[in-house]
Amino acid sequence: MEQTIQISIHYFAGLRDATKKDLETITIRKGATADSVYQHLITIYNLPDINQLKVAINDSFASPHTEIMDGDKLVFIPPVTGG
Amino acid sequence: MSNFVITQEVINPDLIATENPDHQSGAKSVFEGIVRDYNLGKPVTSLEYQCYEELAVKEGNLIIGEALSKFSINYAYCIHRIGLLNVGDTAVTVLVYAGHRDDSFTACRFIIDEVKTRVPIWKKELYVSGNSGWLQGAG
Repeated sequence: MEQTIQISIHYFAGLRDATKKDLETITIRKGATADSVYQHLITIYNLPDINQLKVAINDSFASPHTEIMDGDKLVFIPPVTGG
Repeated sequence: MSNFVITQEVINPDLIATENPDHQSGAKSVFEGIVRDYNLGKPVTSLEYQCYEELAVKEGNLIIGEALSKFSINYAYCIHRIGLLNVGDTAVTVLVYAGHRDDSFTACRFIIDEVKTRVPIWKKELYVSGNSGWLQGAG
């Protein structure tokens, strides 16, 4: 049987509007990367291409190719507009 | 203590300078970003700032640290307000003390430029027409 892990995804700005969620917990297959999680999300929500986003795992910037571990906090970061 | 702060409270730049005095410096630069009433041809009534606070504070402090090592300055501080802001409100303030004006001006500019491109904060403009929209990329 395929092993799975649970992660939380936090949404901000346009992604929060598109998903209508601040955060959600999802179950995915072990070995998934941030990029593969996003490819899954794109099938559910109307989201921009991942090339326009940065990725943070557990409150640090990370590569989209990083493997996600059980219990991780994942954030996809749209272009920032502070100031 | 963090020298990069996220707040939901009103920012008073005069108070910030008073609370952070530096009597060894000959120059003090303060940058204040305020909400304007027009953007991209549309009249604006207010702005909503949203923030990924854990990473914003981490990245903001990294920027402050970079400014302290790149420039000959004595002190740097930045505070950014989030939530709903009205036209004329201060959204962000940068305070830098240095021995001389060149370094204080340059470091102040460096900090606000880096904050606008690196810190995960987003603004949504609310227009007079009733429409609203998240801005795309640092302006």
